Amino acid sequence: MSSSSVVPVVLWGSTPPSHCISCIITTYNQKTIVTGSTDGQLGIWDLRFADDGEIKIIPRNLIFAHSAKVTALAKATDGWDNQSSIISAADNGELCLWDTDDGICIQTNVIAGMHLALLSFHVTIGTGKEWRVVCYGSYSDIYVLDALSLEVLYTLRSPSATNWISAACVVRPARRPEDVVVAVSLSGMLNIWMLKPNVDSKYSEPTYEQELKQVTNSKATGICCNPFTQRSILVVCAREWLIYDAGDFKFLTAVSSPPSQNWMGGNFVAADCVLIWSRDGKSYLYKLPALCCPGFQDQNQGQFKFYHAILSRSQESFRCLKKQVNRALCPIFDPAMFFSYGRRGPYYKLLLRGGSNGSVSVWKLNDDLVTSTKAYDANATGVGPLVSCSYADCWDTTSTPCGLIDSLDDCGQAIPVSASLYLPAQDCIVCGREDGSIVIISAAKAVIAQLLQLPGSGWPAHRVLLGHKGRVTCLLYPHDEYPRYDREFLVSGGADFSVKLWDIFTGDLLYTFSTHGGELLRLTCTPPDCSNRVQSCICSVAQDHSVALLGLRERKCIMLASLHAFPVETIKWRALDDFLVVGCTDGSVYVWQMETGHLDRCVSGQVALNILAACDEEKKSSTASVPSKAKSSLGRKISHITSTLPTSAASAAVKKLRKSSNQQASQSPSSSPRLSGAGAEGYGEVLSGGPLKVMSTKCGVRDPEIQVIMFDIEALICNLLTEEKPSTCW
Amino acid sequence: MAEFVEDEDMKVLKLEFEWLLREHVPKVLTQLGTILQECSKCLRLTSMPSKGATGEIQGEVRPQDYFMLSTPNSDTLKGYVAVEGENISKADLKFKLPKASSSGFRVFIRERLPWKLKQIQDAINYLQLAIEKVEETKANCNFSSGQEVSKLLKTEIASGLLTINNKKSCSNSPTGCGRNNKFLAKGKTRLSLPDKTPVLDMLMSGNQKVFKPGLPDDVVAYFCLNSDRLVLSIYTLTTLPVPPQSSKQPQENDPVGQTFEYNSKWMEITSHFEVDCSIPRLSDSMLLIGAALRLCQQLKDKFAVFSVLPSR
Repeated sequence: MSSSSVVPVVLWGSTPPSHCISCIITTYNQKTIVTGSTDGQLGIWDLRFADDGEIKIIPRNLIFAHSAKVTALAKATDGWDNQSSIISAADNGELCLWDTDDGICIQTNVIAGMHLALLSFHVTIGTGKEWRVVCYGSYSDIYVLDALSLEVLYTLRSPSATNWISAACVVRPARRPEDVVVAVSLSGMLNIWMLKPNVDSKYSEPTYEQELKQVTNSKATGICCNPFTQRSILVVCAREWLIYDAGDFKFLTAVSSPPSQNWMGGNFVAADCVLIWSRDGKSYLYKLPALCCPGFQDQNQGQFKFYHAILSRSQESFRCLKKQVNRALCPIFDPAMFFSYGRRGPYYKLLLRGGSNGSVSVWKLNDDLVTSTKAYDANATGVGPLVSCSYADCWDTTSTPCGLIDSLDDCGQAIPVSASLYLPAQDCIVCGREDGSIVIISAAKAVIAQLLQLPGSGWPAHRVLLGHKGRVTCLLYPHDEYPRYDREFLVSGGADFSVKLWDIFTGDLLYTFSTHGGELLRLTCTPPDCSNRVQSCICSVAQDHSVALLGLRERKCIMLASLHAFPVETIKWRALDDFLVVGCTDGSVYVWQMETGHLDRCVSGQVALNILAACDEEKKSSTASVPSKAKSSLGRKISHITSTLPTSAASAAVKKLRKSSNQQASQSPSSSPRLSGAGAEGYGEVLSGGPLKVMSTKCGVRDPEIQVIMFDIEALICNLLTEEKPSTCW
Repeated sequence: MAEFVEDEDMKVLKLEFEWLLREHVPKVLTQLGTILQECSKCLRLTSMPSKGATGEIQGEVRPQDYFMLSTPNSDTLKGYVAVEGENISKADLKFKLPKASSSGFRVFIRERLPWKLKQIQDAINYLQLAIEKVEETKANCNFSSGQEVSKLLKTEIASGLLTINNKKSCSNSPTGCGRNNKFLAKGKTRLSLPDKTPVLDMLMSGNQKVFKPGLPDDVVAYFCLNSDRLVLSIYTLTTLPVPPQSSKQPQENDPVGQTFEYNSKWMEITSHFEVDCSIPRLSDSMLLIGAALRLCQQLKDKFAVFSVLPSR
């Protein structure tokens, strides 16, 4: 199956995707903004500067990048040829290199730990430049990575006072050939390492160490060297920001944060001007007295007072900007802020803010704003952002994007699809919706009706299953996974705690399992080597942390495992021993006997990991003998990032012990479709059969599903060529 | 979906949700903060007067400071260690290793250059992050919506993906829960799973310099934690005259026979043994973290009930 001829079309649905921004940066040329979200997606936004000074932000791409929160972003290079590559780090230790132009993942790696920040720099080797990245986080070392291979080149560590690094910056001192890292640890130690171009040893020790007494009691959240004079260093702590002389680390001044607000970060805007932002998304511009600006000759010497202006979003100015008031009322928690000073082109000084509601705001810091600062006025409303944009704005336009079955109910608003399942064998799609109804419809006919026909011209025959109260949360068609299940069985789980068994051909409700005490989270098939009784069961997991084996033929729950104190993370099988192994989020493992329903063991710690690993070994040996199980349907693959049990990504704790970790990690980025364009890479391998496939994904857990329709042009041509007489199409 | 739930039920549900936010959450947060503080104190416990002032000696001093480390039924290793906070501040270890070149020797760890137990340090740091998060939320405790609470908990225990809803809170996500990596859970994992450091990294890390007057070249000693137990691993090495023909697959549980290159010499691990001792304050900390985790999870579960409330 060739991959090149598949054209994906995204049906976003009537609800904009949620995009809770956790970090934000611009590329060097200031033409692109990249945002990372808590759900692991990367947003690519175009920044367009009009001649009249107006700035426009246009959302371009949404990359389904990671399966965990994006914790850090960095530019990979700033060469003229490759300005668009970005490195992202996720909460689970994944690092990926992206080409933001087309959303392709170039390289991935996994380094254990949570990475707080990535800082890129370059070294000159011979006549060429090499790009490297400094990476630190929840570990006491600093890693220096190669920006292209993402491998660790060497490690910076401080043997005398090891602790996590809480803030670091990379600077190139004047008249020096190499950059240095200035880092403050959680215990307030300041260390400076040289970033050598050549890698001779695996470890590098600091060239300078000093304890910053003022920082020892509070955590530094940001550090920044004055790029204009290189003579002062700004350290931002939660309660105050401090300025040190870069020469001897003499303490110069400190300014505390406004009441009940914590500082989050800051940067130098000019030689004598700093911009500090606080946790509520406001930024404060301070003009420094000459005393605090060593190396800077100012005409207005003798000013000893701090002046500042506030860049903030007051409620009123925000409302003016936004059409919808309700969005303005939604507060912004933990915004991501970034200051960008263009090195090329227009040399704009831009302040970016990404909010938890998915909005990107931009302030332009003109020189007159810097010079015209006046004394602080508590009642000052501040300066609103120059421009602000979110994905939702695209949905406010006249032509709202549609979903696959949005116009099914012609009357009124479309009901969002909460779970969907594509059945390639029947070419039909099963959509569970927010109101509890399940629609079964031919995918091709739905696409025709939705996209090609005029609204109101009627829908093809379809089946609606009514029975659930409240949202349908998961769907399973077991026959698609293993032929041993009956062809007519369709299983659905809902927010009403029930699992319902349907006859997919007649639409009858066959049985309702009322076993669980919580919303259903996922439904899976049992593995084929279980006992006959268990083989006819499916496994269900609910929000009350219970796991049940539901016999589809018996119409009976044959086992209910329900005393887990923490959410169920993984389910593994030791079929030959008749054991069901449940791994919970707190690291504990419960071993259940399937036949009797007895709890065999409950362990945690290393033993728990060993048990989980042992299950994998059995699985490996069994899959080796049954190679036909490599059924990687679209739905399966994409489900890694959606709602069903993500066996590979789930066991993060187990991951590091497993040798296949690299392979697994590379799997999840590769299943990351770039939803907004024509690039079809990575789809072909999972395509088989007919010319039209549907897969679905979600941005956030509570978001409605997004359907991706994939037209395989080649298969279409093949079909047309072979189709002498009309084929029987279901 | 609201149509399907009775109006009366929805009203009651809303009231209950408001109660949860107004009354219950602040209470639980306070409790959570207390547990975490207690746990942090327990982990940091040191016999040194921490604040310098004479009156302010932290905690009950000295009772469980020293721990015996010795091999049962033999005198291969005999000695004691003193554990303070994240440091092994003192140690006196007498070895009689039959396989090593110098069979009997004695090494010390002195207070000036302690052995840092990274696992405790990491746990303390994770706890601190969790405490900060709780404090932050308590400070601006007027929850207008459940979102802030769920966000806090999200950061605290494994949880997931945030939905931008005004009302609906805890997106108790099935996928998000798959990642056992938020502060508390991470801290607990860090304590309960022993470090899997390869012997080569033990040699490279500079940790071996802590032992005075220095271990023989063919002996490697390494401290780590396994739940509430302090484990000392001893490896003996031999230098290989030629690089090994086929490098043996490193096996997880048995390091003996592994080979590696260090200082341009090829070494083989010839023997390995472990001694351990229980540290009571660590088991206390584990219990406290467990309690905090459970408390968080329970609050989160309560939120999950209200996911049926209409969001838009």
